[in-house]
Amino acid sequence: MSQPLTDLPKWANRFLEWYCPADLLEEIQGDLYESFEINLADQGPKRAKQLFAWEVLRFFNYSTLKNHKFWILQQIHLAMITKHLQFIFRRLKKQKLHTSLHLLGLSIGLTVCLLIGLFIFHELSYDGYHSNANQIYRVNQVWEEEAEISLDYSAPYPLPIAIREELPDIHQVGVAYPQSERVIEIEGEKRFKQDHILMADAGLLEIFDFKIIRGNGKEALSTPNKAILSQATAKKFFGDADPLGKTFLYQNKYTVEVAGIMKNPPSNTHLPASMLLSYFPQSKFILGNLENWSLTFGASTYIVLPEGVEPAAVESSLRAMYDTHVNDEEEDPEVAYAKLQALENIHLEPTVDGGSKWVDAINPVWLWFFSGISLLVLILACINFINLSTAQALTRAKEVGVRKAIGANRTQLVTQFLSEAFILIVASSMIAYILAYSSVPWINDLLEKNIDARLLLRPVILFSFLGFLLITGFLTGIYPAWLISRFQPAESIKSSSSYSDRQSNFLRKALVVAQFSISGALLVALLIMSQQMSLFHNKNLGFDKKNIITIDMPDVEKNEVFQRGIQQLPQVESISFALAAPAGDDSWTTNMHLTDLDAPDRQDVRVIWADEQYDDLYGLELLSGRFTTNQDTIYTSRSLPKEERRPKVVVNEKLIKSMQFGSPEEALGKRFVIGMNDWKVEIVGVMADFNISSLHEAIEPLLISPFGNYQWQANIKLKAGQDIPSTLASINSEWEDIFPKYVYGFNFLDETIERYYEGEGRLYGLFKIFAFLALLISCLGLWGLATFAAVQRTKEIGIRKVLGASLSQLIVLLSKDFIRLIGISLVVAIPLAWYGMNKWLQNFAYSIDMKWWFFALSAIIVLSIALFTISFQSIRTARLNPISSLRNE
Amino acid sequence: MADRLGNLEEMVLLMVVLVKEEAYGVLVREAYMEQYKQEISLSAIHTVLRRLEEKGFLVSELGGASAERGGRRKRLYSVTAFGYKKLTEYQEERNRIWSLIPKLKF
Repeated sequence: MSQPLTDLPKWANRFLEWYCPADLLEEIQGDLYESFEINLADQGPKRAKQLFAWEVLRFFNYSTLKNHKFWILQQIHLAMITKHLQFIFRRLKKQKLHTSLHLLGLSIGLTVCLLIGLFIFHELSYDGYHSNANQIYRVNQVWEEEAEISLDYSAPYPLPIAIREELPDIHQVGVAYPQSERVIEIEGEKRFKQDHILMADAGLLEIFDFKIIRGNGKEALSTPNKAILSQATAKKFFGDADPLGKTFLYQNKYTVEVAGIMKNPPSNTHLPASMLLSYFPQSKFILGNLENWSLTFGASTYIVLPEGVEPAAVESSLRAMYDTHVNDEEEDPEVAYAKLQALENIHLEPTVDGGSKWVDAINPVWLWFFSGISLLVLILACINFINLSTAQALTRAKEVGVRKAIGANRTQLVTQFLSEAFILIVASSMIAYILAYSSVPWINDLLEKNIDARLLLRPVILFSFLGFLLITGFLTGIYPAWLISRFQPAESIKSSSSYSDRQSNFLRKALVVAQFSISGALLVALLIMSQQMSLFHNKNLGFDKKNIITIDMPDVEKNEVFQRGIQQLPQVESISFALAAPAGDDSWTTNMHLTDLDAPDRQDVRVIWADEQYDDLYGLELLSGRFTTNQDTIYTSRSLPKEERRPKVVVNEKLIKSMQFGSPEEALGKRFVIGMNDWKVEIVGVMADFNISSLHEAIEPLLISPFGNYQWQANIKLKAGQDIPSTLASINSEWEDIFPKYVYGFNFLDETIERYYEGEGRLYGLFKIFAFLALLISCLGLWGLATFAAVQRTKEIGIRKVLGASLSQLIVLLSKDFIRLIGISLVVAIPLAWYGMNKWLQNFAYSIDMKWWFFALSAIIVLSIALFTISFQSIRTARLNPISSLRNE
Repeated sequence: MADRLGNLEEMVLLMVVLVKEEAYGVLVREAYMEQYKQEISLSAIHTVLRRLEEKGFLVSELGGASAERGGRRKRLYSVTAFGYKKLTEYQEERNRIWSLIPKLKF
């Protein structure tokens, strides 16, 4: 009967038949068919088909769909929804304890998740804001010797020039040379040290998004002695005056003109430059190393790879460059080559010499660790929710019975209970959002980060959190809802006593075990971490670190004058000049070997140049021989012919062990070659080992020798019990007499050492809080469960009491089940924690031994916290007057 | 609000009155495009027609089946007395207001 509408786009027609409600389908489809036929005649088949499909899509609107079957809201009557909501709110209001436990547990859990999520998001966002972020690479230099690899984030000076000339595929090459703190003088008035000065070339501006708002950036960075200040720096330097065209003095030497202003860089970059500085043409250092391929000095080369160019291909062309310029000596066992590091990885690979000069990279293990923690905390919170809801189910049996009796079906009941769960979750997520938002500044303080709390309002985070909530809400809500709605009306209305359910009882127990296994394991981890942290701070490093300050000296020639001045001060015990303190990163590393420095079995050795007061000042322990004296420098005098120079050195135990010199006494007088001036040094004394760098690393071979030219650091020991500020002030006035042009700066040695562990200390601090919160959530759950269990057994307790049970017997009765569960959890938790922490401790060269009492202590703590939690309720129930519990039946 | 006519609603209602017999989606749309010289989608016409029916300006019934349009029946709309009255009210209102405006010459 119908004429064939064969040309219709079938998918559109089928789609229409799928979505369109049956009562509208006929008229709509009819009209569409008719239009199609008209269009077919008027405009041809192609256009007609398009129009048909388009119209079908246009009909997919609210007006058509509002009566449709999948329009869920249509099915539940509005009145029903309001009633449900009314019931839910009434219930939540009435059951204050229940509601607040739910809200508290969930909002803590969600806050932890949000904060950790934010932290991870921040760490992963580093440098992602640059417009071609995923094509930017840093050229890292690798030194490889005997399969031992050391990575450096800087590249030799000629490398970027060679890339520009020899690799035409790469259009953008830039050099960034982050400086240490530098002295700045402004108009002869202000003088201070400025951090985060980035020496840069014009190419860098094409690579990174430095937002230059005034001046011509490229021109400035291609001209010597020009600077682009960030807004904050400009304000600091010149106040509110117009900074363009103003000048300042850099390092007491170079007059620099401000040629531009840029926006302050965001906090998530590894190059948070306070100013960009062009190069200094007269700088001896740069001029001397224009051709030097084997020196890396902290300047990094960045390139942008064009689409379709593989990093590996570039690496191999770079390798060829290194082979011609660096790896040309055949006997040298050390080879150098370049490796490209994607911009996004710079903040995540601490193996590349800590990541970058200014911003330490974070070990991704920490990110995984914290994701794990947030997941665990969330699981704990969900377990609480499930446990409390199912435990409560019995009080709702009657409600369900009545509802079913008057005709509620199971879907409706499940919907009701699920909505209840969702309302709780939405409420706690709002609380969590507020909590998280307001605790961001505090987290920033703790981690010394600069995370922007407004990130929380980003659509990405909002929506993923929303999705996450839906999943969590569904997973936690569905089981209790399913369980409660299962009750049989006849049974649940009839039985006045508890509606016991073996299955959910078992589940509840299993979940409590899981909860306390997690919290127990976290507690053990916390205890072991705290022991490891205190090892860092308290381990005897082999030298004194109390009351010692170090000052960088600007001019070695004036060391002696300074020494005379300082020694007069009554508060100073002694002063010594050296290249470096026993701790700190200032000591040098070179090679050593018995005879031949190019031999493949040469070893690394640390070198400190120090005067004769050094060992006294630091209380170094001498095992044999003597410490070097200032007179020992005569053995290296330039008047001697080269082969007769025999520099005297003091070495540590580790050195004589690795050089196989035998006992400390046997080692005296032994000689070996080192990579500085090819000296053949002679051992005059052996010291006990001390830790020269952080305890993450093992002790290395070390030698100390009194070579004067590099004693750049004054080490001053103050007398104990002196007023420190006044001492520092008197040292400062000495300094100003001798070095009027330099800014005085000092470090306390113990603080320098602490700084090694700062990163870990901060993360540990964060972990401590989250572990505590995890335990808190578990206890909340336990408390809730104990309460319900007690309520359930009120009658039983009453009867027992009447029959003569004592208070303590009753408390034991009420607590025993829970304590048994906690016991089981500890059995699970301890081996897990032992395994995990054993792995963690292997990261450190110096780590604590696991002792049995760590575990015993954690077990006792968990048990007593649990007992304490339960005891509130059990004591109350046990003391209840039996009359009140037995009166009504 | 329920007894107000929106602009589009008024335009479509007028077309139903104009077409008079056999006023169903396709035909109303054609009349609309012919009279007002502007495009409109079929779905918009349907939506407005349904809304007008809900408000009581139109009534509808399903027409008889025919071999055309793949055998699908049409929904035929006709204006109610209430709807007709509303339209004339609007028209009179406008006339009255226009009469208040002094004649302007441009």
